Amino acid sequence: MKIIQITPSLNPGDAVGNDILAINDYLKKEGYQTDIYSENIHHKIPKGTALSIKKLPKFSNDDVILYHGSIGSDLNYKLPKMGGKLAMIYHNITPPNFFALYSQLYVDATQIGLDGMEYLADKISYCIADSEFNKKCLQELGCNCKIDVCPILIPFEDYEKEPDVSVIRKYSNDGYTNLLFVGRIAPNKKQEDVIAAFYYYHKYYNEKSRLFLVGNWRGLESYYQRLCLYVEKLDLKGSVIFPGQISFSEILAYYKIADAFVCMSEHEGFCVPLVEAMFFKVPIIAYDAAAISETLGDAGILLSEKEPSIVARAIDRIIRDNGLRKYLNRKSDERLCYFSTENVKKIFKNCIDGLENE
Amino acid sequence: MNDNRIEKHPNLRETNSSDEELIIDIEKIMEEIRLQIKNEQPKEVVPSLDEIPIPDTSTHCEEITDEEDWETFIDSFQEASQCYDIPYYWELPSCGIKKFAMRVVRKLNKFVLSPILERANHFRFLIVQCLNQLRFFVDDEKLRNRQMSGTIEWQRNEIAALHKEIDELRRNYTELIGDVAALKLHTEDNNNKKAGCNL
Repeated sequence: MKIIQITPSLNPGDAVGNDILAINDYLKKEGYQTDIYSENIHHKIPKGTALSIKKLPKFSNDDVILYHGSIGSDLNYKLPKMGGKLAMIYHNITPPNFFALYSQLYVDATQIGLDGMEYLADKISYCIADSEFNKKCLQELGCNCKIDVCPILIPFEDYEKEPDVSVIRKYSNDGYTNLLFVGRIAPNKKQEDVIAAFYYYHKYYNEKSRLFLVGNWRGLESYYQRLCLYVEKLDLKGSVIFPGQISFSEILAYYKIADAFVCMSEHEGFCVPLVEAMFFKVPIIAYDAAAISETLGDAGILLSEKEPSIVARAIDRIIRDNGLRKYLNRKSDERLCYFSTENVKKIFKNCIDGLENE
Repeated sequence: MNDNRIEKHPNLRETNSSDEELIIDIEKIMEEIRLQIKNEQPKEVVPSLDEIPIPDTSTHCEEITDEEDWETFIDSFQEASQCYDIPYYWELPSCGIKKFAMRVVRKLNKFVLSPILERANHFRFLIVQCLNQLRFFVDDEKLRNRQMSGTIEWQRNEIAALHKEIDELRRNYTELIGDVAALKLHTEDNNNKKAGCNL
């Protein structure tokens, strides 16, 4: 059986890109004949790793097309006509309404993505979803085929790399408490709620504190600028830092200096940064929405509300209570076992076996 | 930085309520927090993001109206997507000693030029990617426009047919009114005649 992975875009470092590359390695090791085809291949992807979509061969009926569904692409309409057994790994698409105030392009792109998924829904023979939440979304889109849940394969070995020294030197050992959120600056991530909670924490609990909102805002400049104005209004300029698009070593450094990870996101198909925070032993406070509770498990404080006073007190508690942090560290380790490469590969193997039997 | 994450924060008073406990009930902690907040005097209502107007970052784009312009765009895009990645070691045009000298200079400058080229290549890659997305967007818009103009045409025809129907109905109505008036007149005449006979 030949398994072909197809994706609209292959980028190094992002969750979907990492997943594709890890699956490729795994399939090769398992002896499958496999290739990656993509419409856009980032130049940092080593040559020969993936091929242009233009070079797609003809498929036989036994071949499996493993399509990574994440953004709008005309591939959604082309793939069903290409033959072979069509399966999909669904990484979720953010609902367009989140972008309505900020970018018509994003509204259209996500709507095209959802329309494409709806079109594909009854043409797929098997599906893998990153989370139960994604599975539910797929079913709502009209997908009636078998859907198994398999977490994203996370390259933990990359997290052992050297963090950026300049970031660590600049923001550590100065008596400040560093709060962190990592994720694209986007309306569905609700950075404004993190800022509001931080405002309360900074003002009433610990004025020697900082908030880092790591992530790039490309394409959503108006949202980013609105957040900047919000920070100014709350008199937090200098205390809330947007590092923008940064290197991987810098991201590692921000995890290293963080004392707590605060996530108020309202739409996540999986949320890799939560697992990263667990890996770096950064205690997590997160709002219970979408796939957050599934990924977090009991390895952090899950909030059912966003009231800044409550979030701020939870942050204060997690920062000051050694026992609680120790407990969450232990829980994080337990949770990380579930996301370990071996375990996810085992789950993925079951999925592939299921796919063969479909 | 907190490498083991259990260190004491120098500027904070520390609590250690559950250090030795094996299981901590997080929900119970949250209930405590909620109760404390409820019992406290509310400090303030944090201003919401809704109070901040949305900054205008939109840029004016000229509409592509000419189909020929679009074809030029597609051709240029296809060419750009083929050649955006410029290798540092490209084929040198000359030969002999001149080529050797150029190779030496290029080798010596590699540490300066190569990272710049790499960044420029990355930038070009992003531009090509954006163009690709824009192409899909425009194609989609064009398709939508086509569908829309088809719908508008159909609606125009429908409206014309409805106008015709209204005219027809109007004509029928006028005729009907005339008939009714004639009938009325005729009935009155008959009634008058009947009345005359009776007298």
